[in-house]
Amino acid sequence: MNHRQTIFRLWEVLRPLRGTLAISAGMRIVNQSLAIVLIVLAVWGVAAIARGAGGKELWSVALSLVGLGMIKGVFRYLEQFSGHYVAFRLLADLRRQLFDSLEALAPAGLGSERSGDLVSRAIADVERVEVFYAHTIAPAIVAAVVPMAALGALAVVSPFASLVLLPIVLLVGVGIPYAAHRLGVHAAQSARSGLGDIAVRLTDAIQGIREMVVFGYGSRSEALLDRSGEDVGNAQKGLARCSAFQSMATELGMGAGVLAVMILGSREVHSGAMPAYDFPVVIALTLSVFVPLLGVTNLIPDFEQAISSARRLFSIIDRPEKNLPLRVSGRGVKDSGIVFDRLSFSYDSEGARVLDRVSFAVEPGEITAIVGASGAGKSTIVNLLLRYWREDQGDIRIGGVSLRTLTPERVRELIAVVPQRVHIFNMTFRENIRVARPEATNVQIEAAARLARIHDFIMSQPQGYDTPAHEGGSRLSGGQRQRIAIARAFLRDAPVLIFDEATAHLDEETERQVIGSARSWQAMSESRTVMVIAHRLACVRDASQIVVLEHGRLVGVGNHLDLLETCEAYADLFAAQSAETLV
Amino acid sequence: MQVTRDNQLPGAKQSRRSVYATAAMGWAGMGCTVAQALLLGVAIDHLWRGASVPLWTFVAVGVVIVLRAVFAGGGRLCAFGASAWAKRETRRAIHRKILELGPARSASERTGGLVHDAVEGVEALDASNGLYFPQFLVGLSAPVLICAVIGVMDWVSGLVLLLTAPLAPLLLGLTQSRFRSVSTRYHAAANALSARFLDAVQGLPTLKAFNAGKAQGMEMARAGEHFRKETMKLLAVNQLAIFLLDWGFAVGATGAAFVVAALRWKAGAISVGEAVAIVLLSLEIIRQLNLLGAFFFAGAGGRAMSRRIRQYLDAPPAVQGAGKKVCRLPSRLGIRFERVSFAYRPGADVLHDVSFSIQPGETVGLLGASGAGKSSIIHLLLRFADPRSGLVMLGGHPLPELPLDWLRSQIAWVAQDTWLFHGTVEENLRIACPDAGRREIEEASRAACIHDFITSLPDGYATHIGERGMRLSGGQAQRLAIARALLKDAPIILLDEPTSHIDFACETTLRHALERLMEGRTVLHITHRRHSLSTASRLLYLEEGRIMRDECGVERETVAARSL
Repeated sequence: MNHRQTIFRLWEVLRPLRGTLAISAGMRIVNQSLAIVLIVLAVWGVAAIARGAGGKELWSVALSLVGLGMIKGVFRYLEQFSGHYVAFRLLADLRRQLFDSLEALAPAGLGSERSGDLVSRAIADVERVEVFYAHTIAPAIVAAVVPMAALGALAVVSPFASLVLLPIVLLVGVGIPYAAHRLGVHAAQSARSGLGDIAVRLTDAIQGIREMVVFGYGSRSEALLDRSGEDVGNAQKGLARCSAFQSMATELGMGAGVLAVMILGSREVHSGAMPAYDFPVVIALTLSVFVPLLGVTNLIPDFEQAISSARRLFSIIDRPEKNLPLRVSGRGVKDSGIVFDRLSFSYDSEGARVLDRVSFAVEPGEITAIVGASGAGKSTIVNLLLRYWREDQGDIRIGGVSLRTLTPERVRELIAVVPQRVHIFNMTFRENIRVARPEATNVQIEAAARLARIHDFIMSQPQGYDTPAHEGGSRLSGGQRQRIAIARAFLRDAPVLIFDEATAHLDEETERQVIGSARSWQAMSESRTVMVIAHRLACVRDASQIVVLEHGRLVGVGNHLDLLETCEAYADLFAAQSAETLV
Repeated sequence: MQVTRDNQLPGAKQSRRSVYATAAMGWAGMGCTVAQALLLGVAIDHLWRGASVPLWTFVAVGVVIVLRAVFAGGGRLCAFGASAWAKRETRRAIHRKILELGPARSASERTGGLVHDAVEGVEALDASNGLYFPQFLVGLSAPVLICAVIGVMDWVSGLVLLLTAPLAPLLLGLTQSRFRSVSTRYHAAANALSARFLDAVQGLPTLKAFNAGKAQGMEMARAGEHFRKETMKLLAVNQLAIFLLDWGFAVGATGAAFVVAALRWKAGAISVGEAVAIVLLSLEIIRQLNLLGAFFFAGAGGRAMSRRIRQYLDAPPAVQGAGKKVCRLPSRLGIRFERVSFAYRPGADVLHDVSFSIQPGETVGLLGASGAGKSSIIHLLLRFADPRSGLVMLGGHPLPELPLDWLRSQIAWVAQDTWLFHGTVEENLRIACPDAGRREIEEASRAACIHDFITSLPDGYATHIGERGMRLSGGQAQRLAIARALLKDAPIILLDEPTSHIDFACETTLRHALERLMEGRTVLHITHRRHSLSTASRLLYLEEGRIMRDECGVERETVAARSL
């Protein structure tokens, strides 16, 4: 997306708020203009009194000042109010859009980038764009309009002064900020990247705390951090110099304007071209012209940052949603059996095949295990089943219906997964489990938790199910997180339940219990199918069917005893693991 | 002066000097503006009398302008100094604190928040130290100083204006306390919304799997909308303060200045030029107060952030007191837990009266379900935390008698996963042993079954990994952890589920590597799977924070035989 497209896109986002933003800018213009009017009126009043105006004039000017001050206050109030309105609305809208597109992309679309990084960056970007619109644009417009209006007013009294000031206003408002920006652009970049380094070092310190402490890496790491800090400091020193240059140049420019008007004005008065009582008014206007310009010295860097933030943001928001079904079939799913039919897949078009013509059937009402070394393609099968990706060739049918004709939502209604990595939300335990089925009753939630063997743990927390999962008690262990995920899957009550290496973190006893509950959950209804993706064979030995994958190919299907005899890969796996048991 | 005394952050001393220097520049600049107004008054007086303006007036204005430019530039440079050192020192202090709190206390879920505070939050010191504090001094003194100057011209005007000038600051003060509570509440709610947003985005795969993503999005939008409406309502009332303030400025400064100037001229106390100068000076009062208002939010934000960082820095360290030097210790160390009870928070013991000992050179397995207290034992042994009661001893010495660094250098910990720092593979390995040569590093990698993988990387050992680089799979990271432990070469080995992610193909080789690592050392092997315990001479069973059984090797073999 180039500069112009980004600006155009931003302008579109702003569509519903343009009116309010215009009002806000308008109010600000009136407010700032009135500020100039007030000071000019006061000076004019003094001059008028000095020319011999009476007490009546004095008090009417005083009253006007009070009245105009009040009006100015009203406009200030309205400006602030509408400005905040724009800010809040924009923030909410952008977040909404970002969330919706992330939702559509997750998790496949987020897989390539470092998701945490992407997410936190996107959130910061939203805020930067919001700040730019709500707090930068209006002052910028005002900074352009008000000085020009003031120059116009000045031209009425003294065209000459106005003419002299025009280039200086342009210099102070445009030339100097631009020059300062050009001077500082390099330093600003290195300051930003230095701050990025600091963030990386600190993340390292927090996440790698164990290694830090155990390897005595702390002081070395602190030295690295401090070096980044020094880099940032040096870059910011450069920026401070730029900013010092900018304010010096601005002061000199404004001063030159005042001095020039003073000299020219006094000459005009002396020559009789301008009455003496106009001179104070000209001076007051001259002093006021520059005031609105001073609020926007950082406009250019702010603008550039907002544009790059917007570009990143739109690259997420405007990403097309993939994986939609080509045509939606109205056919009902007849049972929970799954057929994988010559399935082939690779994650990128030139890459090696992760799955190579894999065919097998998962019978409804049974437990099927998929085993194999890591990298054999087990998790890819789950990713395809959930439509996070789409197969290159072949087909998956569930209850006789091809997944290609089902919407992703429908697929996810049929399948519940206990994933490898579990996200625990910053909510209570109850809410965390309820995520799987918003309408579930407390009784159902507790039943699912019991089945997943997490009920006792939850009850031992200070507020039971209402304990926030991130607070209270010690932090959750891997096993506890996993069991919450299992409770979610049970609560979901979908016809197909998949354990995606979900029991790796559990101890043998709990693993046995959980597999046992999965079995009894499955036995509760004939229509329920369970798929267990496993790394260790102990827990899948008595599955009704075991599928063995090796390097993306199917190398064996059958039960434990059959496979021991017929499938070399399986026998090897088993031998390796029993050797471990026996040593 | 409340400039930096409360919530003092590291480097505050240097900052304070620069804050005063910045303020001095501000005062000097204000002096120039005052002088300019007075000089303009002189020029007006001359013109009013029909005389020409003397040259010295122009020269003086020119000089004043140049000086003001110098002060303005100097102010920026001083403002930089007001936070530069403090920012650097504060970040170092945060880093030290992270280490001091250690693994048992650090909340890795809050990584994002803490990093944000340490990066963006510390940057906010620029605004509070460089802008707000100096302007606080200059802005609040401006009415008094400027009225004093006016008082020199005409004491009546000065006095009257001094009485009316505080009107605006007074209004500001009156409304501020009210405003502050609203803004605190607003910020708390806004932060909660942001946190919720982040949480939802991070949990998107989960939400989506349950078709709950869209609903959650809607729910959040609703919460956001509700928050927005409430805030707008609050603002509608509270922004009245802004209205009053604006009006107060206009009446208190401009209006009063005009009336005073006009009446005093009528009374013959001041000249026309002086009257105009008084009005122009009132403009300067407004400008200084406006600047204060403009920096107010930045300053408040910076102060709130300092408070938060200070709070973090003030958290008590995880363990207190440590020995200064190592007393004579045997080369092989034994471990002893004596009636140890431990809790992460009061009243919830995770270890109850745990006693066991490991002889030097012995390999002991510690078996327990998840949540049984295994990681607490590791935390205590490495002294990330101290027991509530009881003693942990190493080589016959209670841990608090030993220097922390030394204690931790005696233990190699091979965990389920390992953190890869930002840097190259080689740097990541060298963390375990800063002066290891390339050969030693390669040797350790070979033994850990990771050398071939590393050489297959685009830049071999110089490949960048970690936060911003490529990532390793669980098994690869684990092998790297074993390589690190081999490099560390410590007398005590702590195996914490070391092979949970490892592929079968590599497991045999790896077991040899582990065996080599364990040779002749004291080993505590912690696991939840009995069958991964290979050469343990003894087994401890940990259940709900208690040692339930202490089995010697012979018994163990019978158990193993039974389980077949």
